Amino acid sequence: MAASLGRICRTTSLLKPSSGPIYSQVNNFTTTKEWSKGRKLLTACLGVTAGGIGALLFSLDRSVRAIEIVAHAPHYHWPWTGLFQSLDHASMRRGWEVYKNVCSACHSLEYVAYRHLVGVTHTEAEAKALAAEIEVRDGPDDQGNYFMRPGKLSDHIPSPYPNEEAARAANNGAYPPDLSYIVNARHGGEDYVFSLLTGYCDPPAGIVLREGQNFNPYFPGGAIGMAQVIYDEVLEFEDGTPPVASQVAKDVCAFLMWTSNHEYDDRQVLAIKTIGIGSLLCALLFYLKRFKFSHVKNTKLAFIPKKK
Amino acid sequence: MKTNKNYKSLIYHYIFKRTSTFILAVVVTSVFFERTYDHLCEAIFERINRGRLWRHIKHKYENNGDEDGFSMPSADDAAAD
Repeated sequence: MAASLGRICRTTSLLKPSSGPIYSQVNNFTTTKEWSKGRKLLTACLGVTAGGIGALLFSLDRSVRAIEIVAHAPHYHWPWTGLFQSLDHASMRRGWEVYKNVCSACHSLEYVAYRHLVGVTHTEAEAKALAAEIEVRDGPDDQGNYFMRPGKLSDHIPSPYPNEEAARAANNGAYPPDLSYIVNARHGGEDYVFSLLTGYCDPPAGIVLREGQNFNPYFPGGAIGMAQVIYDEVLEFEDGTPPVASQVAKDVCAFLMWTSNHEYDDRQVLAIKTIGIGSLLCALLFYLKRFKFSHVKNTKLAFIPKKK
Repeated sequence: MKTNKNYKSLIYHYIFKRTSTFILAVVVTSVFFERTYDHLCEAIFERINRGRLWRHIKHKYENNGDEDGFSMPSADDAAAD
């Protein structure tokens, strides 16, 4: 602090050797003494500017962001919120049902394969049965022809549209995004997805929607091509959970959280391991530091001149 | 005190004295330590998340699978053993 003050004000009185042994050492070691006045001034200005811009950016980021016309999703307490909490696999299994019965009409899930479901939401036999329900174009065979075959575990979830243009043409020009990584790809993540699914309402006065558009305050711009699809009892869960709208939305969020973060549970285990080993090493290092410094701190140097 | 000293000198004589035995001791200890530590952490994780993981709910869905011989040892099974 004293050094930077001296640099700015060009008062070297603080650094004078007469100020004591510590300051005299600083004075000896510092290399800024030889700097020209202009260079010192420039350095100081640069430091102040960088700090100021950083503080400004930080405060802007902390502000309420009232300039955007979009409702920010509130933070919900999910089963996986927390340092050591795993995903809720029963919820993910229901979420897969929701995707299959509701979302898959328009949204693809092209980066998830049936084999990914094995040991996560379904047993291997169940996943094989699910995969066998679809038809996959494969080939070429011996004759060079392409043919259709039942799906296998290694096949990916089929997309509802063959390409983006077909998807846009079928949905008034709006493209239903792929849901594989949607939780990681949107600000707010699962909170945003949940709020979007359950947040449909009538447009306020002054908002004009075009044909085929719906109003959702959580969608940037407000006008969303997707209509409300999550209602109470939109489907029946196989485990008998009451399919109210918030339950359906929560389960599909749990499922999409997993499709975006396949390694989530491993990460939580790793957190336990890392914190455990880290605290062990911390204690060891603390002891080692005390051990090594005990010599330094107890050493007394004495200069005893020879008696004449 | 005497036994303690013998114990220490034995360790020194057979392990720390030679680099070869010392390295061997490090390797063997780390293998066992890592196994134990991993199992411990998995146990803590399962305790915190009881009822939420796949291995806690899979018995509900597995009945048909076993008859067909589909019970492939997955990574979860290996970790649970």
